[in-house]
Amino acid sequence: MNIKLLVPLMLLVLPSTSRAQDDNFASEMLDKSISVPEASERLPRPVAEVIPAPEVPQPLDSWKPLTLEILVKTGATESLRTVTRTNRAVHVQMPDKNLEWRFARNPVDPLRVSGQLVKHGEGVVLDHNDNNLRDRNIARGWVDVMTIGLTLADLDGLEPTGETRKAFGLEFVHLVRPEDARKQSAIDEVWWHEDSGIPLQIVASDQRASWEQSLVNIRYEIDDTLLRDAAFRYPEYRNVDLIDFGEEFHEFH
Amino acid sequence: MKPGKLVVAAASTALLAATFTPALAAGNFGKAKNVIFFVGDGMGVSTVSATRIFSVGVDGELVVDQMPFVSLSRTSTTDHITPDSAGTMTSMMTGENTNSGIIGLDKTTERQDFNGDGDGRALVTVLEQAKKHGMRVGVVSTARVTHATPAATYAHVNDRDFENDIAAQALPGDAAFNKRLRDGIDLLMGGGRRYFCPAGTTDEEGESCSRTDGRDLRQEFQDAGYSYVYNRAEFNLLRKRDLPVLGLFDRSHMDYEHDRPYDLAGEPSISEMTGKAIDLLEGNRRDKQGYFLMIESGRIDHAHHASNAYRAMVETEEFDKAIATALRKVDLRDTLIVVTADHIHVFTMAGYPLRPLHDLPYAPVSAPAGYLDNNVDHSGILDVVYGISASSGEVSAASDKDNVPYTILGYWNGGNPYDTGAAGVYRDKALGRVDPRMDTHAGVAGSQDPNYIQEVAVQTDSETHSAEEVAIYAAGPQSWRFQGTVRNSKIAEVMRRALRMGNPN
Repeated sequence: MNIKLLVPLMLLVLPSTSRAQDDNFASEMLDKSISVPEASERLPRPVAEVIPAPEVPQPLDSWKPLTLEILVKTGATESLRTVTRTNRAVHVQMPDKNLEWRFARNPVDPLRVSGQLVKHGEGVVLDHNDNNLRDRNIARGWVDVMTIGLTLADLDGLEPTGETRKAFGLEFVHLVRPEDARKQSAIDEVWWHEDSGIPLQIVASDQRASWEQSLVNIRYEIDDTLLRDAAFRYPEYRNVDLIDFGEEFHEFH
Repeated sequence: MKPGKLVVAAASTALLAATFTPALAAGNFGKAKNVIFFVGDGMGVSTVSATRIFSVGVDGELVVDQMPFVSLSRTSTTDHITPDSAGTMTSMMTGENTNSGIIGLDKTTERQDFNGDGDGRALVTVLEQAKKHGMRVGVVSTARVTHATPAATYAHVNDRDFENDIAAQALPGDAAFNKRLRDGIDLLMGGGRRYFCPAGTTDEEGESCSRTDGRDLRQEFQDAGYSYVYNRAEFNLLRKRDLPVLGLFDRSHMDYEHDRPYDLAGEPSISEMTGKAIDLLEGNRRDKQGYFLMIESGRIDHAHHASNAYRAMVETEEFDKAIATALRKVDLRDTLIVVTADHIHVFTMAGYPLRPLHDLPYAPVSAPAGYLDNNVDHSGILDVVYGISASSGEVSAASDKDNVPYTILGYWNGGNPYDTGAAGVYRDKALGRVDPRMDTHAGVAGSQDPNYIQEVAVQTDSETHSAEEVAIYAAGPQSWRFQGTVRNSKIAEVMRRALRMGNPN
């Protein structure tokens, strides 16, 4: 049969056929497919708890503004970091990486923190919101960026040895992870000054590597310009959200 | 026509009708009053499969599994084998394929007009046509409302990153306003306050704003007649009389569903936004106006980019619940529902993982505690691969050549540019394979932790998209047209057919 004849006829017949059969088929098909649009029973999510931002203990809010120089050793590699810290922002300079971190305390909820990673090599300021920092375990809140390379939670699993050391006019206490304790974090050992929230030395390890962080200088003065919004400090850089950067990087650079 | 031929023609037609019997259901040949278009950004078939196992078990059924019509959709843009969301969404909304990075302009447009030959034509989107036909229109996304996917429903720019401009194109009365939107988008909800408030200020949640022209579009939208809401409490109070509505619930993208309870101001879920959008856009029973609604789960894509399978699956599960919400609220005799993804990711399930113990048709001779314990949760999809010896019947973890086990879920590329953890700010990332069950990098408690970053074959700044087909799932008028392997532009074609609109492009 000539297809040119068949097609118009089908167009005439099909709609009426469909209408006529709609009532017959519709409920059956709905029952069969999506009349009960429920999934099978959902499995529980046993590990879905979100850890809230930790409280800011006193006297952390009264810590003096300061600039720290710290040396980080990973294997044979040594890197110098300069940290500027106030009770509203923290800045970390990483010259060997050509990177800067800037963390800002949230003015609406002072327990929270947001971050900016400046990648000079790529001319970009990467914004990290509080969730980005938390779900990457960088910081659960403001407290975690104040304590320079460890979190207060890390200290919970450590015990004092009774030893103390004096340096930079401060007395540091020695904390270690008990040998029989389950490893809760990467931190094995800390020399810690609680009143100022400064670690003199951190020794840490995980399944992949071990590293050491040492304080080499303290200055009780700061360069306030470092704490400004990095998007303003580097107006010629692109300012993008962390999660958008990866996509952009692969596709267009 | 001779009588004999008429008989043959009638018989052929009847046969054709019988063949298409499923299409006769739910008014599938009819006209749609409403269209709801769901886009799971980056929700490839492997994501749906993993989420099914995660959410309802190996043999369970997601809501999307129950959609009656399914097709495969090819996603390449006119200049990339592996596409981005801008090019693909433009194709799906206009029926015309274009270049990656381009929003609503044709394929003669280069990103930022790098050839200096001017932009191509501004393609007409289905949303713009719906507005022209007097329908109400809504755009909902868990990403920024100015991000590529939502933007491609209503804006036309030569670079997806020009989000200040994209926001202005949605503002009635603005010089940049897209006049095809007539009196404007009736409902625009998602994240993205940063491009609506001036740089140098902070938003309602204390996060920095980004508009470089000093304008506060939140106020300007209200001046143009919009109701503006920024938190879940205000969202819950929205009524039809509040239309048009602008809802901006986060500075940038909305929170992942996993993290949503922790949001400072409170955010609605994608299911809640879906329900609210339908309630607001739907007229009364005698109303013939109808609506077009696009709903994007934007953060499936983001979790994949971060190589975090847990959040990708939770996002997909919530997206599935949003589809269920829509199916419960609409009448499929007059509403076409299309669900698809814009592209996939290099996300895969490796090895030959054994089903969880309760799913096995036999009893293994022995099994390690890890298999017995962990398979209770999420059918073991977050676990390492456990296999069974054909000769001994013993279950053990499959491993690489150095006897290190590996997870079922992984990515071809990805990873973080720095190590995670507080110490990660200061020190270098350490590479190397360790047993995922005991991987405590940055305090993460193994591969079942929501923050676990999946292993990748190639270390890069971010995981990438991929070029394989995505699925289209559909129900309602004209949904039967989704059959076989099609180009993603077919979606615009079918939505237009359902709404009895032509292709103006």
